[in-house]
Amino acid sequence: MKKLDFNWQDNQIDLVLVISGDLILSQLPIQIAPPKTFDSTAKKIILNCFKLNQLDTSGANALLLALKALGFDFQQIIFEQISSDQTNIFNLVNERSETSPKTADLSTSRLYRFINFIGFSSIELLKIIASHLALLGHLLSITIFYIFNPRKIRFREVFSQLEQTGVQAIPVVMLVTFLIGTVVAYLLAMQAEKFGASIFVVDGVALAICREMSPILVAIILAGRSGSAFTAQLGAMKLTEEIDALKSIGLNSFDVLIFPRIFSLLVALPLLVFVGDIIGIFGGMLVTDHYLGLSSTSFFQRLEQVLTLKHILVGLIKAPAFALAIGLIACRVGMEVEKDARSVGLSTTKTVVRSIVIVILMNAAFTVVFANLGF
Amino acid sequence: MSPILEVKNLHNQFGSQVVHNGLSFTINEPAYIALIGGSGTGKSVLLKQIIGLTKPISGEILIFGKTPEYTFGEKGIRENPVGILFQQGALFSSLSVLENVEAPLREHTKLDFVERRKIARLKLGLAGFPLSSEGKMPSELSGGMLKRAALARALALEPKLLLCDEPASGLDPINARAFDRLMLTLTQSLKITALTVTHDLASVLNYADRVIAFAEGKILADGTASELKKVAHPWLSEYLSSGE
Repeated sequence: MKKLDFNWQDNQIDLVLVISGDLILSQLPIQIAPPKTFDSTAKKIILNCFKLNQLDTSGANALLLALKALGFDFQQIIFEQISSDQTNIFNLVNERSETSPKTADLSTSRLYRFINFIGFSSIELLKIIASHLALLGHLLSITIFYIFNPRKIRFREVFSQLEQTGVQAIPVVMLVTFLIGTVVAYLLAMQAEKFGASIFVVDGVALAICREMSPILVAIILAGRSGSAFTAQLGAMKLTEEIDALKSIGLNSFDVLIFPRIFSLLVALPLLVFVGDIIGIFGGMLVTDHYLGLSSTSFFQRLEQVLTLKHILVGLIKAPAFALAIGLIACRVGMEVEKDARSVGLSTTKTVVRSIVIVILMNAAFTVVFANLGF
Repeated sequence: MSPILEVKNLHNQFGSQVVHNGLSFTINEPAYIALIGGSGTGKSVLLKQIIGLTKPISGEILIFGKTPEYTFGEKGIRENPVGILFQQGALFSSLSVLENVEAPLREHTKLDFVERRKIARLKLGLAGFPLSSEGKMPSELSGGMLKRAALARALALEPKLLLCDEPASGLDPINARAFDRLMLTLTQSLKITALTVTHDLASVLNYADRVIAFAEGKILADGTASELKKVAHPWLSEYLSSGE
């Protein structure tokens, strides 16, 4: 690589700039000092390229821009002793480099931008809520239609989804609720032992598992497992134009894709909560047996007195509401995936985060309402 | 000076399927070169091996006298960059068009933000991409615009060799011809070699300076389009007359 140099030559009449060396990308940025006797009214400049070795487009562009900054347009430059290849490059660069485009002026005040941001976010939030309500309305209308035309339900899709969201989730639901059941039982047993109130551990475990733990754990597992899967599947189908293809053969994407998914979630979640109830209490029983020496017979006797149907129903009533929220969010987000690969990943994350937050919010609301109703 | 690209006695085989069987050719002069061949004749395999993504079973590929590993390594890219135009553009979807073109410059030069932007805008101009759309994301671009943006990124480091994988796919004939003219301008004015895998007959017949045809794992013919027409081979004559 030859060193790049610019020299102004004094020949009294014209302004002459001699370039020597390589004018290429790796030499950038360049700096051209104005000549000592700079006559800003000069009409032209002579560019002597005799010693110019290599030239590329970045270099040519930088030189033209630098000369422009000194007040010389391309028309005012006279090239001397230049090879035809180099002329071509200068011509092409001049032809293709547009003057920098108009960029939006962002010199607005901070306060303005802050208010702007709040406004936009609020509208965005309202739009999200509106689109979920629209989907809910759609779901209700189709459900009413199906009640009168049960044969139109796509049972094959529904059962295949039920298998994936329900049956295949049983092991992980069992594992998680079992462990949480044992942990709750240990925690209570350690406290209850001090007061000789061991038998109340049964109350604590049974109520905690059936009313709160099992519904919320199962909902979170399904949000992560099925909700994300729904979004990813629908998003990928949207990317590959499969959803458009469904429309083109006269199928409604709502009937074929969304209804079976939300419906299967609605059925599977309460069932899994029930599974969780049983296994969680079983976990608790093992701990009380091992840690407090409470026999399973006395555990069951106490359980029968404490765990009335009411408590189980409280948990089971919450489950379909969670399922609906997860299903609506997952499908809505999946259908809104944009046309690039990154979007699927982002949307999946969005689904999981939104569903878990909504499930926990709804659970809090349910708890307050049930407590006030005396359940 | 070592040749721009040298492929020597390339052998490739997947299972029992022989893809290349002693493939050799050399590129000495900057030109717009089209690589043609039926499906499964190993055009894409060759392109992948030139880039160094996979290795041939035997044979050698030299780019400016260096191996692909060297050329696409840290040092090679600065000495003799090679631009690659992928079939789907392969623009980074999280970056805007301008940032995409800037990305190689940010990695491999020490230029500041302002200088990089100047160069990136020049490249977009060279590729014929309208600067009013420079802030768009790749997902918002049409097929033709996507190819132009990808070309601008391929040109960012001033490559002397440009590898293109089916640049005309997904373009309408008007855009495809505009692309051909663009490539001719670049190859002629900037002395860039463009090695293009293509199925587009019009660009092969009317624009390419040199056509290399593959069949049965070997070079079937190598020359200008009119020279190729004289070669008697069933696939080649059917290919060249398929536009009639």
